[in-house]
Amino acid sequence: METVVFFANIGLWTCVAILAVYTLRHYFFTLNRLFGKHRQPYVDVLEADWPALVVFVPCHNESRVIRDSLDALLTCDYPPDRLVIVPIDDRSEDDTRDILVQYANDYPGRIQPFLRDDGIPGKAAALADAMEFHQEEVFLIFDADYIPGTKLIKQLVAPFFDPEVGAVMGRVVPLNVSRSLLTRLLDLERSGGYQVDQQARMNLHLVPQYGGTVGGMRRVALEAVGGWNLDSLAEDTDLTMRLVIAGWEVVYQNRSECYEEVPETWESRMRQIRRWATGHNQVAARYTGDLIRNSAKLPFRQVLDGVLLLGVFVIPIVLLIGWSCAIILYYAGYPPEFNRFTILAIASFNTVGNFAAFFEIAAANRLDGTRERIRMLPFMLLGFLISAITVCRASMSRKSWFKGHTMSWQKTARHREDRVTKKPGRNRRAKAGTIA
Amino acid sequence: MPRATGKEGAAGKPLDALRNRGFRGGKIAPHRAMIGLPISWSLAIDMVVIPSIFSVIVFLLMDPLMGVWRTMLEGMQTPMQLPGTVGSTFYDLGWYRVAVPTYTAIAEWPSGPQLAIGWVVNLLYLVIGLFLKGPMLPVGYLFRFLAAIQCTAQLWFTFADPPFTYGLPEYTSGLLVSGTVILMLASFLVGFTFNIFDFSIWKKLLLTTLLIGHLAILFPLQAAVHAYIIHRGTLLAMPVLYLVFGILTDVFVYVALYGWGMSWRSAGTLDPFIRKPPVNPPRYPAGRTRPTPTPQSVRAITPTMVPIVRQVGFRMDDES
Repeated sequence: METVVFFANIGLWTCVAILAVYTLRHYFFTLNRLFGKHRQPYVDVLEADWPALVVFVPCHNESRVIRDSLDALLTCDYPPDRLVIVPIDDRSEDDTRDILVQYANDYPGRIQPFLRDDGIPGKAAALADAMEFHQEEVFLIFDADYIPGTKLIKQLVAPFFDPEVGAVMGRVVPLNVSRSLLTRLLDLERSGGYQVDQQARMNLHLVPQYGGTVGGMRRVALEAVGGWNLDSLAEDTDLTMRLVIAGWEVVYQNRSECYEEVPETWESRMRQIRRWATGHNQVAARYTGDLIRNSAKLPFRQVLDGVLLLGVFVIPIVLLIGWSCAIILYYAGYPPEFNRFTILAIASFNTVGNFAAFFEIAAANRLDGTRERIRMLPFMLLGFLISAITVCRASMSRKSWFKGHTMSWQKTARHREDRVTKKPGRNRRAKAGTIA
Repeated sequence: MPRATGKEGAAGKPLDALRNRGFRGGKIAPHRAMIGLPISWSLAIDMVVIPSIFSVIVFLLMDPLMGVWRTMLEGMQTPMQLPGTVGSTFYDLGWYRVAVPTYTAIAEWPSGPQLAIGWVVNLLYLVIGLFLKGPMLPVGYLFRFLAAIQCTAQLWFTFADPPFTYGLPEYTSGLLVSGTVILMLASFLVGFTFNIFDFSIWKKLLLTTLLIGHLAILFPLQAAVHAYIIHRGTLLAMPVLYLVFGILTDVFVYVALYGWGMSWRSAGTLDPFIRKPPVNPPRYPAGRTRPTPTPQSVRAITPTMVPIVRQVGFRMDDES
């Protein structure tokens, strides 16, 4: 029994130390975002000799949402003669391909679909194939359910005038917030993730994460780090890490907002988290060592932030181990009596430690001006619980840590109203009549 | 010639005033991506001085507070049919000794039938957890989590030998001692996470008072309910109450109050819906022809979240 208690003690205090680091990180990022100097060096670039640009929109069974995305891209203010929109259809089984062909006919030259019927499935492989047909220096990527604003494209391209910038990421804002409790909670969570986390990393010259959508990349940077990693489930994090290790700068543009559809059901959300966790852990397994080995070439703060970023999806496992150790020690009668230091330590850690994430989310929403939504804060417990359990499950799978799995399209279910049967042209008339 | 920045001393101040002035003297609110809070010396007051004052007040009121807790526990003892009396546990808070009240009632080691009932309850948690789907899925996982914790208690009390490390009186007093520590810390948590925002001093004082007041009433009630359940349901109920419904519940009380407080209007930098017009708005030069309003200009002077009541003629191409 003494041996079990000994190891449970070591386990518990190790977990507490790791969690304390992440707690401090939450507080530090939030305080930096609230009081620090905002680093948004490219947001004032409004007029320039804009480079030729290609926008890729990977699709797999996206008939419910792709029209909105293409309509929005067509109305952006980027010079039309320098912009090509390339929707990539990879083996869709619904009407996606017909819609793309229809748009290509309606907007010849501006929309050039890339239709794919074989090869390795998945977003990264589809992008790699499509890129071979386009030689533009800069390219942007949007998922098919994303609706960019008119000025977004220019905002995302502006940082590429800086030759050290390898990738750019914009902010994702949910558009279906009022659909369910889950969508409201995801809105709070996204706000915390972008308004605070990403911007604080940008302010502090750390590692802003390229998220695989609402972002772009410089071709030469991509080629310099070896192109797309076709067997990665999180090609975005994979690429972020390779760019950082190679010394390229990844930029986050908080001002560049794009609207997305977040999952509306818990089942769909769990599938999304499982995919993210598996992919993220794959990247952690591959690049944590490289990041540390390159620490001589990189600023220490970037290495530290990179390692912490890669460890984000390991935290639920740390929590699970911590809880298990705490339960063992509880039954074993440890601490044997409530002394002052123990009570102070437990009470402080429980209150301050557990509260860090809530503080970050509340601060982000206050910055966003969505103050009434902050009343939903206690319900975040439900989201945290689902995330923790799903991440634990995903992290325990072999796929998370080892190579050699089969790639397939991993998609989040779309819930937007079915617009496939709508009469042609109705959408465009509706847009023309909008005064917004 | 260098460009004027508006920060060149007294001569540059008018430029600062004009920087955010909009149409008709309204204020142009910065985009949410650009917004932040200024650092000032008043932060030290908000984060340190106010919490310290509250902490000292709580400290000074500790004896009367323990008296109130004792009265509450005594008041609830008869309706809950708890045997014994309300005793005291002495706890050193710095150089100060606090007599924390506690029930002297004891809880039994679970018998065979009680363990069997416990397994049935545990199974019930699990079944509910597995059957709740769709929008109730997270609640289902909450039940599964409870089932997992309760399962550890079932296994422990099935295979271990009495006595259990914790008795009911020590458990209750431990809960209340933790409560006194949290009461001392609560104002600093508010200071660090709420007072740093641009709320008025009254709102900062109000939230701190609400939190401390709420917790001061909650702790003895929580201890009494726990004591009742453990006394009736044997020691089998103690682990799940301690691990899930103890300090974790108290933290969520703060989360809920904090969420409410953070939704209050601040009338400061972070409240974009309040755009007070200047007291003496600049007048349009007399004699100059006023420009015709355009849809853009009408929208520019219409505050956010207020519906546009004036319809401006707007002819669309495809209607012609």
